[in-house]
Amino acid sequence: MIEYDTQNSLVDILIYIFYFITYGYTVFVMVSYLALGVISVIQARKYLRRNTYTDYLNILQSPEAPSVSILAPAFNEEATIIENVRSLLSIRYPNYEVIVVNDGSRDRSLTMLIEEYHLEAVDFAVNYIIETQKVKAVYKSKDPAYNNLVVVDKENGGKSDALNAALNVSTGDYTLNIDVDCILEEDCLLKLMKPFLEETERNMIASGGVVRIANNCRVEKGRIIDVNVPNTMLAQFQTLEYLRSFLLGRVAWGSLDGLLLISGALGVFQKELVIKSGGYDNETIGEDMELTVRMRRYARERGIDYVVGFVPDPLCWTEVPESWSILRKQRNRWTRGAIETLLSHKRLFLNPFYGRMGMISYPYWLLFEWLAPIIEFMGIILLILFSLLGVINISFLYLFIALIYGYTVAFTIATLYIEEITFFQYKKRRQLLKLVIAGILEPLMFHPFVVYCAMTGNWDYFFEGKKAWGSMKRVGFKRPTNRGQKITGGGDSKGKAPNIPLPTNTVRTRPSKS
Amino acid sequence: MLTIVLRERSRKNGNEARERRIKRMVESIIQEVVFTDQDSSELKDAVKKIQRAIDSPLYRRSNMAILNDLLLYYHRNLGGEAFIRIENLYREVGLKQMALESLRSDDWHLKAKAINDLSTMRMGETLFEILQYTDDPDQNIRYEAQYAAVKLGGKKAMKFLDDLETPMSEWQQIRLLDQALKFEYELIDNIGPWLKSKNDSVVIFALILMRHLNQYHERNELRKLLYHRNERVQEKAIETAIELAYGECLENLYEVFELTKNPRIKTRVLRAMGELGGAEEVGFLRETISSSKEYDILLEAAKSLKRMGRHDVLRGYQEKELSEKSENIVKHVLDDRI
Repeated sequence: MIEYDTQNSLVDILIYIFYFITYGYTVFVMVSYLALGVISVIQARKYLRRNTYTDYLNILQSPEAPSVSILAPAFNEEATIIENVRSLLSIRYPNYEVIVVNDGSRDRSLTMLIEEYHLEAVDFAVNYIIETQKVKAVYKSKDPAYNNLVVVDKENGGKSDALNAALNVSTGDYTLNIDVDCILEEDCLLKLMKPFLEETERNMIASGGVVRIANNCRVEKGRIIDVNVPNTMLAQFQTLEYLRSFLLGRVAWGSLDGLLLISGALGVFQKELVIKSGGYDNETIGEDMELTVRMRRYARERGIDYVVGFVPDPLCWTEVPESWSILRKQRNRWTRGAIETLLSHKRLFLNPFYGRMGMISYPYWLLFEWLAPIIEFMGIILLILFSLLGVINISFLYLFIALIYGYTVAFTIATLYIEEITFFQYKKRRQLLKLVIAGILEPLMFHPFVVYCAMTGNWDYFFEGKKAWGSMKRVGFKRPTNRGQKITGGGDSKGKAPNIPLPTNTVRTRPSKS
Repeated sequence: MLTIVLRERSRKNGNEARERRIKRMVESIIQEVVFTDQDSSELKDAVKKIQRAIDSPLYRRSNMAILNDLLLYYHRNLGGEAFIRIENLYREVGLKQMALESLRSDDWHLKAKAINDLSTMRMGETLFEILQYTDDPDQNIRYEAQYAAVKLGGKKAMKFLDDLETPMSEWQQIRLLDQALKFEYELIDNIGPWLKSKNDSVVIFALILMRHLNQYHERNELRKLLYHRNERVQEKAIETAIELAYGECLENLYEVFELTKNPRIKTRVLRAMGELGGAEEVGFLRETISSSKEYDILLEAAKSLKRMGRHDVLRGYQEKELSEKSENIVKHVLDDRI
């Protein structure tokens, strides 16, 4: 190896800067994850302790329960729409309506809904309080059993536009915004509404809940009846990622009132404030994060003392991609969505006026969600370069890599431990072992891929100017009505079609962010 | 770390197995006590058998918790004579004593759970002990104590509202209302002072009670609350006036409609006019439909006319008298399918 005399040279200074950024950043990430983890555990335990004596029956029977509108945008969902709507109609809550928006589907979604739920067009006067594509018709059921179902048929305008159209026809004080292909827990609305009803000091403007992975779970009549770990390694990696993100990340951010994202798959919002802040932005690809940030900004700028809540319970189950190509597109889109939102609200950055959102959450997202993959990528390139040049100690490099790897695996196992002592969803020992193996392999196989997707997302946003949703092969699963059947993901790792025939249309519903 | 996870898993599996075993052993004894007439010696025998089943040098407390959950489950799902038998069993096996001990614990969740258990099992004799926690600094304990007080002490125990300074959440109001709805009908004297309370959440709760328990006697105070500085109180006051069919306040409602800028209050007033009004209000509502531009106001005015059975007024507008928006709203309201 060539020996360089680097004392007081430019290389020396560069190496010091490199050390400072790489090691400092790494330690910062590790410490912050650890801190968030500790806060999450404290919060989850507190929540579970309260649940030992909480009786949701009180609100279920109450004439004073606030009204909620469930907004479910649908685009080419004929494979699952009937069962999904049935499952929404059987949610336990005393005062709610379900608004399904057919966003110009090209399949039989609307026809199937009309036939199944005996719908007929009514003279509904749509209040275009938020501008949307034209509503062609509003349907109600002739059957009184479906009295709380409203179906809106509109011209295609994308998910945000469909949600805005649903907002325009909704009558509830609160809205539960969901992805129509998600499976909700029966009591999810009761649990999500509780934080709104409990808050006395401040104005709760939104609340989210934990989203879990449904691949390979057994579903009957629109309900998860047997939780399983996904079969494919790729979905197992994502299971761990979701566990870390929701169980350790969002629970902590929720308690710190620093949430910048209420997942599009599951979130309750105060309708009045959604409308006042302009509804969903049609121009953005990360509409869920953008709305959360905009609502927070709106409240802050008008002097409203607000709070955004989070329920640590697993309330919603979603399917994740089981094909690398679909995952790449999804992650690429998430990255572009995050960049777009962060840039369009850049005045928040270290702005004390916005409190924790400006001083902690925004910089955190900037550093750890947007810039992390870039810093990591650059760090790896430089590490390789410097070690080839022999300017850094190789054994120290190995030690450093081992430290990061060890920490990541340990953190994942700690997450599994926390899952064990809190919500305990994966009850079979084999499931646990599968996840542990995935946790050992994840930093080597999955994480580099995620970094790559984020890098391409940055490239596409800044250099290719890609700011639209783009198209992607539909991900879907079949939910049987009469017998249990496992959910299978959309396509396998070799890019094959899912095992249940599905249309190959483009989808517009955005899978939840982790 | 993996060892810790696996050990936790084994511990959990062990606990579940123990729970299943205890349930299997005591469930039949509980059922015998609950569903058959037993004299005191038979009850004592049953208690002894249960205590033997849960006795363990290491897991006694945890076993007692399993038994506690089982009895609570039975209590929630049964009624009549079985209720009283389960309550007796709860006392005899020492669960009441265990709850009272937890009440003296420093952990908020143990205290709150103990209060909740005692009220669920209707341990009326513990009411005075529980009452001292109704203004506890810990919100969880305070709420459980307030709920338990109302459940065990009925209407009289609601006196804590007289000087309650901390805000009462909507969740808590819903829980207390749930209990209050089980009261036999009687006038609640304290509603008057509660309606005058400086604590807005108490005022709102008093209005809710007025509405659901038909407390007509404080209607004059209700009239004043229509002008309350807090819009939530105003809204509830209008809703209460509707429920109590308090037509005398219509004059005030016109004033409120003029004074307020909040569209929610305006729509509530229009609804009240539809529910309580007569010929004079028909004119006002008709005029509102012709002149207003706000969707919610138009919709509520039209709905109110429909509520009054005045379909003729809704159908009687001249051509071009209404804007396209208002016309659509009238059609919407006339469509009975919506």
